[in-house]
Amino acid sequence: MLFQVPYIRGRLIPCAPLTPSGDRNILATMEKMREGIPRACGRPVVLLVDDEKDFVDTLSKRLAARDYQVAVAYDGEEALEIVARDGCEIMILDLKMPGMNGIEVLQRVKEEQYAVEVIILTGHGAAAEERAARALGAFDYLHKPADITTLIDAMHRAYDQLHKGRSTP
Amino acid sequence: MEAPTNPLKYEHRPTGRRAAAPSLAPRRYRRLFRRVAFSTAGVTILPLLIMTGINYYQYQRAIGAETRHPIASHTTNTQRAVESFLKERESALRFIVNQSTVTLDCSNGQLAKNLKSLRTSLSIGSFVDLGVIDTGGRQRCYAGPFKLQGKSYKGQDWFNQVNQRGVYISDVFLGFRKSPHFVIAIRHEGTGGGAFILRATVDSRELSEQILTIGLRPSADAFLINRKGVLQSRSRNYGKVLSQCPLKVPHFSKSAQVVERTDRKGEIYVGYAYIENSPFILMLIRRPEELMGGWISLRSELLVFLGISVILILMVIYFVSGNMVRRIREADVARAQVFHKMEYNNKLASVGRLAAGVAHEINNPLAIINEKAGLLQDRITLSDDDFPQEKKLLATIDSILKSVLRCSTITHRLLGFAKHMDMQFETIELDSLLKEVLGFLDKEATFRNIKVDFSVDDNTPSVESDRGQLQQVFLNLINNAFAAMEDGGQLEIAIERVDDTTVAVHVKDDGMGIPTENLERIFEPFFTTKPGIGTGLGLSVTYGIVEKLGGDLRVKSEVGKGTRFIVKLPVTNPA
Repeated sequence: MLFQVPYIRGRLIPCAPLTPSGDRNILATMEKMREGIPRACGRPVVLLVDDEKDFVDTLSKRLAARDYQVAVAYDGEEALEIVARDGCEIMILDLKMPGMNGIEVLQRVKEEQYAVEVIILTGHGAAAEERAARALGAFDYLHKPADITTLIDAMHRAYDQLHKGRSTP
Repeated sequence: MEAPTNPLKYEHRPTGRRAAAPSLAPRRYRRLFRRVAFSTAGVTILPLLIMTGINYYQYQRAIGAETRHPIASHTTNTQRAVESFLKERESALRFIVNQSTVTLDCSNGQLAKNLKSLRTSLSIGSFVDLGVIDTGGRQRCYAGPFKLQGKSYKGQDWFNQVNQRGVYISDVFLGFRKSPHFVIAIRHEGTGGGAFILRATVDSRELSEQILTIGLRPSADAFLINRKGVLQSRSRNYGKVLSQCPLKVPHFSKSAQVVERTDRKGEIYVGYAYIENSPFILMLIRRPEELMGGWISLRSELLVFLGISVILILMVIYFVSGNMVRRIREADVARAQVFHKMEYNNKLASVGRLAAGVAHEINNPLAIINEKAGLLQDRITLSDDDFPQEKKLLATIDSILKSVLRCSTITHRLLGFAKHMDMQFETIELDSLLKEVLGFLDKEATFRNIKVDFSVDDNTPSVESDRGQLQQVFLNLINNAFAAMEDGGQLEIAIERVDDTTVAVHVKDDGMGIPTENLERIFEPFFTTKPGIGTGLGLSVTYGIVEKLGGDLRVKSEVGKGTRFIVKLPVTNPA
């Protein structure tokens, strides 16, 4: 199921309140959007994929605190499940993970033609992997540890790319 | 690989000191050269010398034997001539005694008649006087130029000898008119009147010319000496009559002998013979030059040939050995360099792999620290609550984040090792690339008042290389130069065409320079002179990249004057 996120340019809608823990609040948002309720605010829906739980949890809190809709997945399979089930706009993806690695996840996302821009965020610096990721259509390739402003900047550029040329529905 | 003129003298190639190859000290090669040269010379020249020596000896012996023979026969002939000369005189005396014309009674003047007839019959070596002496030693009759009648010889040595042996021949003495003479005396056992002795003086003046040296070459000599070595006849070369002959008196021998002697003019052959019944020894002197002219020239040819051969052999050995040793040395140097390079590259590669692994492992926890600290910061700055000691907390968080940033700088440099494993080659104009790189550093240069001198050789070819990597290389080198310079320094960048296949880029600063002991290590990972500031990775990454690009990075430095890095790059893609 392909889920299109409505983009409402220029209109700020209050975001859904954070869950007490601050994470997985995207599910509520997604639920609402599926039910036809417009999304909480005009900000990208982000899926964080990394096997470092501590890292994703912390980062998701920080993004959520900046009013981004954030979901997390701890491995590749879970990430693909979420994308397939709920959809997202931007995926922040680690490369080196147990089980399905980031490159494979990226490959699947692009094969299935989900409307998702993928930003690679990894501690691995091999040029070959960067090239492979970019060749497969990754929007950007960032190194850990990344400054949050760099990440948010990349997210916004990805979001703009995703919605380029689209008008208000 | 070019032959290094003076390895490790200022010009440093990143080679470890611990080499698998043997030492390259010049002393070792001088020793090798000496060993090769001496052993080769030994096995070539020694047999030659031995052969020549044997030849020389054999020729000399053969020719010497051929030379002695004629001397011996000549000596024998002359000996016979002298002996017959003496015998002739003795026989003449015996004859007149046996004719009974000589008696103790001299009144008839018979003695003078005898002397006169003897003189006419013997043209040379004639008798000068005759005397008849009784057994008491008194000269009873005398015919000759002196008034010797009545003279007593009793007790004189010759008188005793003639009485014992019946005949006596005296040494030569200077007698009448200061010309050489000798005495022949015979004893006659008379029939009636008793025994008497006939004494005759013989003129030996012409003995030399007429008997001894007849038919001799001018350089040869023949003369008589007595047993004490006093000359008894004139010699051409050894003095006057009755002077001491400089040659040693030879040992007695019945027959003629030839011996080798030396006189003041050199070697001579001496043929000698003891003359029977006389004090005389015949000496025949021949010079080897006249006898052995053939041998002398043969010998000099032999020696000249030997000399030329030895010189030629030595020259060939010198050049061939020198060449060989030089080539061995070149091969050793080349091998050592390859070893060192391999060792160094292996070191770099393993450090690179290790570093990449470590960096990756560190990056994850670092990212967590980063996010946690960031979250803390968010909680303080994004919330409306007033935190106690908010400023202190924020400062602490800030310092954590700065440390994270420093760590990540290091890990990303480390990852750089692994990063340049694969390249993308494209055609690159070096001067525009360098200008681009300089653009990055423009602000710092202006701020620090550093003058940048940029020069490009005409017709410098473009190179096939990896743009990103090259940018990294020059950025590192120029950064490095900036770090080494004082404000107001001068940076020189020159692009130079080395040959058809190579382009060199010089990056020269006028900074503090690098001491020689550091020069050997500056390409090693984690070597830094700025602990706490530098990571010690910049130059080793740079070196690794240049190697991967098929190029060559060298450094020359002089403390206080500055440092020059030379990047040589191949024009075409080496892969």
